[in-house]
Amino acid sequence: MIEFDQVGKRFGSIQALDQLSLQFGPGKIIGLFGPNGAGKSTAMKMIAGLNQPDSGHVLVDGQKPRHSRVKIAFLPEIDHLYGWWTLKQAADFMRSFYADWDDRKYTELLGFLNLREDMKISKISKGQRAKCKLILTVSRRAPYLLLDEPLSGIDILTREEIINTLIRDFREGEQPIIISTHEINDVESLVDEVFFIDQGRIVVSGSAEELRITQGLSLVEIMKEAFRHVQQ
Amino acid sequence: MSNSKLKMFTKLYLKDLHEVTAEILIVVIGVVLVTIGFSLDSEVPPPAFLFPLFLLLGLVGFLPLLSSFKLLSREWSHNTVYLVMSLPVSGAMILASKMMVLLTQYVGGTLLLGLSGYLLFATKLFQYIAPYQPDLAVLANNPELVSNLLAFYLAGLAFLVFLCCTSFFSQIAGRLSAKFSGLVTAVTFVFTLILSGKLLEALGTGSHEVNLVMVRMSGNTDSLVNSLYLSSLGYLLLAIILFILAAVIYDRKLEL
Repeated sequence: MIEFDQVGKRFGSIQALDQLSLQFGPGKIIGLFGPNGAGKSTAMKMIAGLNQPDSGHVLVDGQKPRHSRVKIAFLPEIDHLYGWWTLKQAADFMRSFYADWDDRKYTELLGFLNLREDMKISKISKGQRAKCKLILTVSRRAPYLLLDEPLSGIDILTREEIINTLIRDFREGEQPIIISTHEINDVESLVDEVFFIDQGRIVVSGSAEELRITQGLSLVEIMKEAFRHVQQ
Repeated sequence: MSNSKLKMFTKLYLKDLHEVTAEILIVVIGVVLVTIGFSLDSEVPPPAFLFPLFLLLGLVGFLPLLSSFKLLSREWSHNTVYLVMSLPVSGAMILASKMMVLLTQYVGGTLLLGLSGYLLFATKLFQYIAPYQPDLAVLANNPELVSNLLAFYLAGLAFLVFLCCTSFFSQIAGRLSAKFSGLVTAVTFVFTLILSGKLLEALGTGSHEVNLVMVRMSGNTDSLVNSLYLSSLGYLLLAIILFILAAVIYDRKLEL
């Protein structure tokens, strides 16, 4: 389980997270939604051990994130792979660090995402790089999968491929997937549980299905409503 | 089942080694050109090739320091720090792999340069000073000379390790500041060098203790060698302290 307990984080004059408390349980696809600058990426980086809270604490299975890096498969928003790597070299690198690397899954996904191992990271398109990042992240059988803006700046066809990869691979009750994005439309049908964040605080949260039924709105509309109230 | 630390270290090392390919090639090409150029030209007197060899020696000593800045700063400028910091390894391993690359660069470069010098020396200088060859043989078999050269080499190596650790420490300290990271790095680097110099001076292990002229005049090379070893030890101790500090800050304080 991932827990945020009264977590605060400030960058200069900006309050990125403000007394944020939440829990991510096992075996679900969780959406962390909010506009740009809401604090989603900060929260994701905290789970990955790349940021530390100023106050409160974050725990991954009862441990500090920097001690549980091996449990987290993290896909950051930015391109974080070495440009001179081929996909094969990148996979070899990841394989050496993570015992949960699944070669069978990697090989299957290569075909599914139309990728070749000899593709050089610096020579491929942005969409292909996004798919390379995805394959290197989801080829691990890590206890937690974090995807920070996995669809940002990606064309509609590649978006579909990425979402289909997640749907294809997700097994209910096993690896939880936490997706942070401001593009809710694309992942609306994917998520089981949602947290809407604004200015580092949770505005709305709950089961995606229950929210849709009780409010009679889509997740995109619920977000618009929620943020309209916050802004007022 | 967990993956072996050695395997992880090897992967990090090979990745970092790739990052300094250009610097390694510069040295290799320079040495090869000088060696071939002077070997082919029979008219060149031996002192003429000593100058470019010494220039290359300076380059071999200087490039690892430049690489130490490049290796770390590139992780941030290319965003690969997101990958590296997510890995299930400590900051000490990340920095040690980079240090190993810098040592490879230095040791490889000096060995290559030594080999080139030996080849030129063997083919040219021996012919040039053939009448004095017996004296030269005596010199080559002199264990004191070998010991002195070794002491100089190790002192150079220790100083380089110290400089690279200072570079790592100052860059990581610089990354603690969101703004003016470069300025903080530069100030920390200079300040650490000055402070280290003062500290070594106070401990009596500074390089100022090594006075070649005095040693030569007194003929006491033992004191020279001892001073060099003492100085090396001082620099290595400081390097270890700076390395540990850099690794601790990397693990506990560094954020993206």
